[in-house]
Amino acid sequence: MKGIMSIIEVMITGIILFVALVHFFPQYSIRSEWSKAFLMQKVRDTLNTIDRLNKTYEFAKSGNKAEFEKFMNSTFKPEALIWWREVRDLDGQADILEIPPISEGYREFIIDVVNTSSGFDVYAFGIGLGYPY
Amino acid sequence: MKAQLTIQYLASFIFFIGLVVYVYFAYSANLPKYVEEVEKEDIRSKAYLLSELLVNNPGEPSNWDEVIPQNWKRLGFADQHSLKQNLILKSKIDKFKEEFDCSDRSDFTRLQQLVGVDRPFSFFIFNISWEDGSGDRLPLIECIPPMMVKEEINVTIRRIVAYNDSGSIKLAELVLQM
Repeated sequence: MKGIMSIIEVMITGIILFVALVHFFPQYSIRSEWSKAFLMQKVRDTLNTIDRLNKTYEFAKSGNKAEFEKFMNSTFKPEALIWWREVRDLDGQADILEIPPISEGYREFIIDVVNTSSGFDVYAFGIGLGYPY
Repeated sequence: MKAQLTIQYLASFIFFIGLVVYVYFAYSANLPKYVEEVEKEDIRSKAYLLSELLVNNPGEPSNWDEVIPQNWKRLGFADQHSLKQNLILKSKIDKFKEEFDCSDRSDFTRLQQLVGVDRPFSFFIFNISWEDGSGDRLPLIECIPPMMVKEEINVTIRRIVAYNDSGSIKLAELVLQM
């Protein structure tokens, strides 16, 4: 009985040690935020590039969706990405908020000023990129 | 002496040693994975830094495409006149092509010194035809080093930019592999 007790003791000690080790030194898990960072960078690059190409107002107009789609298709052709545009406060048109279903995404806006026949108009143009489900 | 070393004591001792060995192997098995992740982080950071330098920095001197190559201290393609992000100059692209043959070892070593990166890397700048909707890529720069070792850890970064071609702004993409 004395011998069996020592086995039980060592088993209990072992279990306590094991639980303590797992608790205080958890298994290494890989967590990288790079895919999120690259997605953010892509959105910023694209928004900046659209502005450099002087196409912000053109792409913001609701009737020019095909032009915007052509640009995005050409730019991100080989990549499995979903994109959308958002336009707020553009004079003479309703806000465009067409966010598709995505698993993970990022969007950013640029504030632009346009000189129209009715005067200066300040509006927000945004694009978003995301990964499909 | 015989009474001190019982079979129960021996079993307990073996069980304990087994447990210690299991815990050691369970943790040490993660070490190579951990080292690989650290290396990946390092390469990604360097690749991103280099892409940022090429896209958003004009270089030193900022008009390096107009001065003699002996005076170049750092390379960058950004347009120093506008100081806008994601806008590079075609004249710098042309000057780069004129000056560097990346497949030549001495040229590539000089390029590495000018961008401050000791690892081998390759980079490309493509013109993108988007107005016709084709998305065709025409290479403006193809810089492939003489000995690009295919490693397990490989990072590719794509940056969308506009470039100024004598006043005409066009769409391009910079692809960097490290």
